[in-house]
This record gives sequence, C-alpha cells and structure tokens, in this order.
Amino acid sequence: MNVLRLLFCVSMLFLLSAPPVRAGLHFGMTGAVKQKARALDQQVDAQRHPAPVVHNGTLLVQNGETLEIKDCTYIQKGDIVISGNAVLKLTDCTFIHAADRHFQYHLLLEDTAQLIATRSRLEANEFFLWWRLLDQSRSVFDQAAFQAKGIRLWMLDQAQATLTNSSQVSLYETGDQTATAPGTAFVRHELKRTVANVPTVVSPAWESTIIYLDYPVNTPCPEDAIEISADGSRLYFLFGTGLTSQMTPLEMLSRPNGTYVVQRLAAPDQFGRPAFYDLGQGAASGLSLDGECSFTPDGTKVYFHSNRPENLGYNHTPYVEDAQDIYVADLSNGVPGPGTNLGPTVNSIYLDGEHSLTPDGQYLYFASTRPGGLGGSDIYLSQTVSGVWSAPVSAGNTVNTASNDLQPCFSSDGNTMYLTTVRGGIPGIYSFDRSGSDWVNPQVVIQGVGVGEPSLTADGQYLYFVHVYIDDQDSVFEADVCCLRRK
Amino acid sequence: MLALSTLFFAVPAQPETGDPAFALGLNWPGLSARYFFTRQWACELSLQAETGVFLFGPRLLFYVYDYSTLRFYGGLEADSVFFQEEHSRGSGWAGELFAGVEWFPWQRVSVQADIGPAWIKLTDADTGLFIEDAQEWVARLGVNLYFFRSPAP
Repeated sequence: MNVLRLLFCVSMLFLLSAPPVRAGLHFGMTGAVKQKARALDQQVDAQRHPAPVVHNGTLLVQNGETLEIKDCTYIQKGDIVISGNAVLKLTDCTFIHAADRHFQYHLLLEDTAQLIATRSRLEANEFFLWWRLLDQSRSVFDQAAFQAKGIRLWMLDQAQATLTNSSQVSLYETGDQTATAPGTAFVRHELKRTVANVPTVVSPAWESTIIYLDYPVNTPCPEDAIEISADGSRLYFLFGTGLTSQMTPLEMLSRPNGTYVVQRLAAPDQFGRPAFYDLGQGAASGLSLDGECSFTPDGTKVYFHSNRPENLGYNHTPYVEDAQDIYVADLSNGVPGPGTNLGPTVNSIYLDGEHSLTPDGQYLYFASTRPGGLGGSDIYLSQTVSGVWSAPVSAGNTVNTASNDLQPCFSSDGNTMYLTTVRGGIPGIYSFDRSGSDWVNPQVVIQGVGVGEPSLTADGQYLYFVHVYIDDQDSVFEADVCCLRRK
Repeated sequence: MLALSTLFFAVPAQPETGDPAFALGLNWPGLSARYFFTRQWACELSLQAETGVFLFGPRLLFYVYDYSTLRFYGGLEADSVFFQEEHSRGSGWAGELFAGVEWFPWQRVSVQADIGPAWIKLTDADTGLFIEDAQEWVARLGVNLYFFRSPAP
C-alpha cells in the first residue's frame, strides 16, 4: 500500500513539473500573472513604439489648410505638396518621407506655405526624393532634427529655413546640397544655373513656344533618348540619376537608370507616373543602360541601344570603348523580353545606336562612329530581308556631315526625316524630304546647341525632343523633354 | 524529494490532538509554510516565482468538511506581485477565491488541489499603464509535509 501511495506522490510531482498552463486555466498564480505581464508589456511597447501611420499617395495641404501630425511615426509614400498659405505641422513625431524604387517623389513647399517641425524628426533618405522649397515658403525647425541624406534638395527663390533650439540638419551625401551650421538657414543652393543654350523654333510649320514637360516626366535629373508612340499615348524616355560623365560605370549601368514609360493623361505635356520599362533582361551581367526605343510596326519587337558588357567593342582585342550597340527584344503584350545584340552585321566595335525604324519597318537608320564616315557620327541604314538585317550603308552626303549626325525619326508616311545635325554651323533638329532613295532639302526646325532626339507622333502634330542644358560655363548639367505643336 | 518522502513515510503517525500544526509545502511553482490556528482555520505564506515574475502573500484556509482521508476547504489568497518583461516592469497584486481538497495518504503528508477565480492588477512602473483582469482561473497543486502535529482526519 505504501508503494502505491509513493507512486501517486511521484506522479503528482511529475505532473507539477509539466508545463503548467492550459487554455484558460493556469497552474499556479505565476502563470496567470505572467500572462497578464506579457499583455501589459505589449501595451507598453505599443505606447513607446506605436505602429507607424503609413500614408500612400499625395499628401496635399493647400489653400489655408493646417495639417498637424503629432505623437506618431508617419511614413509618407508619395508626393507632398504644401501650397498657398497652408501649414504642415510636425509635433513630437517622426516623419519619414519614403520612396519606392523607380518612383520619384517630391516635396513641394511653395507660395507662402510653412513646414513647422517641433520636437520632431524629419527623415528623407532616399535618392528618389526631390525636395523643392520654393517661393516665400518657410521651414521652421524647433528642437527638431532633419536628416536628408542622398536626396535632391533645393531652396530657391525667397524660401527660408530657420533652425532653433538645438535643431540639427544632416544633409551630407547629397550631390546638390551642403550641410549648414545649426541655427541658420540652409545654404542657399541654386540648381537652376543659367541656361546658355536656349533653343529657337525656326520652322514656320511649328508654333514658336517650346513646351517643357513637367514632373513626373522631367525631374532635376536628366531625361533623354525619348520615343513617343505613334498615337502619342506613351512616352518612353531614358532617366538617369545624373550625368553619365559624372557616374562610375557601375552607377551608370545600375538601376534606377534606364528607360521609363509614361502614359499621356490629357494635353501633350501631361503624363502620368513613370513606370520602369525593363530592357535590360538579356544583359548577362545584369548591368546595362538601355534606351532609344524603336518599335516595329506590328508591335512585336523593340529595338534599343544599350551600354552593356556584351557590346562588341568591349569584347574586341584590343579593347574599344563601345558605349552603344543596337539590340532587339521580342515584345509580349508590350513587355520586352531579353535583348539580343544585332551582331557584327549591323553593330561595329564603335558606337552604334541613336536609331529609328522607318514606319514600314524595312529600314533601320542609326548613327555610328565607325571609320569611313564624314566625321563624328554618321547616319547609316540597314534593310531587313526576311528578318535579316543587311550590312549598313551610309545615308549619303546629303544627310551626313563632318559633324555629328544622329537620332533620326520619320513621319508616318516615311517621306520626312528629322535628324539632329549641324548645317552651316547651325546645330539643331532638321527635317529632310525623301527624294527616291535619297534625303534632300534639309530645313532647320529648332535651332540650338543641345537639342536633339526628335520623335514625332503619327499625326505629325507633336514633335517631342530633348533639350540638354548647358550653362554659361559651357557645362552640360541637365536634360529635359520638350514638345512642339504644329501650327 | 523521493528520499525525503520515504523518510516521512517511515515516521509513525501522530495521534490527532487538535493542537496547532505546521506544514511546509511544495506548491508549483513555489513554496509555502502553513500554520493551523485551530483544526478548521489555517493560514499560509506562499512564495512563487518563475522567469520575470515573483509573488508572495498570505492564504487563509477554512476546512469545511472531512471525509475519510480527505479534507475539503475553501479560502482566499492575496499576493503582492513583481514582474519584469522586455519592455515593462512593475508591480501589482493578485487575489483568488478558491476551493479544494487535501488528501492525506499518510498522517504527515498531504496532497492538495484547489481552484478558483483570480483577480490580477499589474502596473508598469515607467508608463503607469496597468492591466486589471478577473477572468483567470488558477489551479494549485501541492504536497505538504506536516511537522509536530498532523491535521489529518
């Protein structure tokens, strides 16, 4: 009997050492207390580290409105527009302006708008952020910290910023701004250098006003290598985070640099948000800089030029700098597949690109610096026969000059070609008329250094082009997409 | 524990006299010391602890019915509680009304089990946040070793 009693006691002790908590019932008061302590712990953690408020889309404060964000962590994924005499107050909060890859978000503080940060932390650390403090706007930081590493920040016009009570600003690692001592305004920075190369519309067929596309197509970074779709509904352009001459090869060939596409919304200068148009899928190393789309009439292929390690010159012995070869990629519902080099029949070990297909898709006109030309880059053309491109031939002396001749585009009937060239010492975009197999009667359309990349809608009503800005020190510093309207 | 239990089994049972008795108890996850004022009334000081939680306090027990080697009882418990979690630390109190049974397989050894609703209030020392709840049920299992006198039926 004693043995049975002993076994019972041992069994009880064993049970007592088992995990003591079952659903809804605790073995021992400590189990119940532990559960409550954990619940309280979560409450304390939530109070100390509340879940951030995430706002997607544009944060719009305007026309006398005051928006106060306080006692929280606020993550803004999208543009911020504070205009009129509106006020955005940040009080006892952390405000993070976040960016998504491939999207460029702006903060725009304009007119007499105010940004007042009190005991708050303001962070904007993404390269895709552009902050523009304009007009007579005021930014006031009181016991606040402002960290904006890597963003593009401008203070223009009469915009002012004031830092008081140990407020701190951290702006290093920016390409366009420098840090400043606490207690003073930001160093005034003028990105808008004097544009010394303002183009002039010469052709009477076009309105004289040059329409500069606004954000989100144009940004403070260069936009180049454009292609407007035949119906004018889509604009393809090459976006770069800076001038390629100022980038390392790795930077240049990496995202976000590349081609983007935007959908037209209304007027010919109104487009939606850019979407990355991935032409680099076939790049063996994953590194490429791709642009200058040209689509076949049936919409099944896109030709583009690319700077990638597979380019012929890079693989030539001896090495030849070959920043452009022409590639082709199949399209599936408009989405490009892996690109393929057109090969040595079309491409040389020198620059080959800046091209355009004729509207019938039979000829590929492109610029090349290969030997045998008249100077600079010359226009060559190759014909497709049963899907095979022929050896290129020069477009002839009526098209090519001793200067750079490049970036052709065609009217929808194929009888007019637009070209970036220099004639009689006058640089600009010229038009040529077809005469049999030749191009004649060059007429300047837009005159000016740094204009190029013409691209025409099928109805011939809009001529898009790129204006590369050059300052009075003769330095290239920006490129934007523009548009001309036919009279 | 096994050796200790064996030792006590070898001790002859003491006759029931009604005099006060003491007990040391092992009650998961803690210890207790029990003192009988009378045959029906006893008080107990218990300490319980596990990671991040420590509590101690008195229990008052009233034995209501005896049957064979079983003694049925009810009572209440009040504890002072201290806790520390990852983000919080503080103190509070816990109380319980309970009813249970104590079985005496031997004169000096008993096994007890009781259950009852518990009230708990905890307050974080830094933030002042507190949690108060009466929706917990607590069961208590234990083994008691009696000294001097045994309260066994």
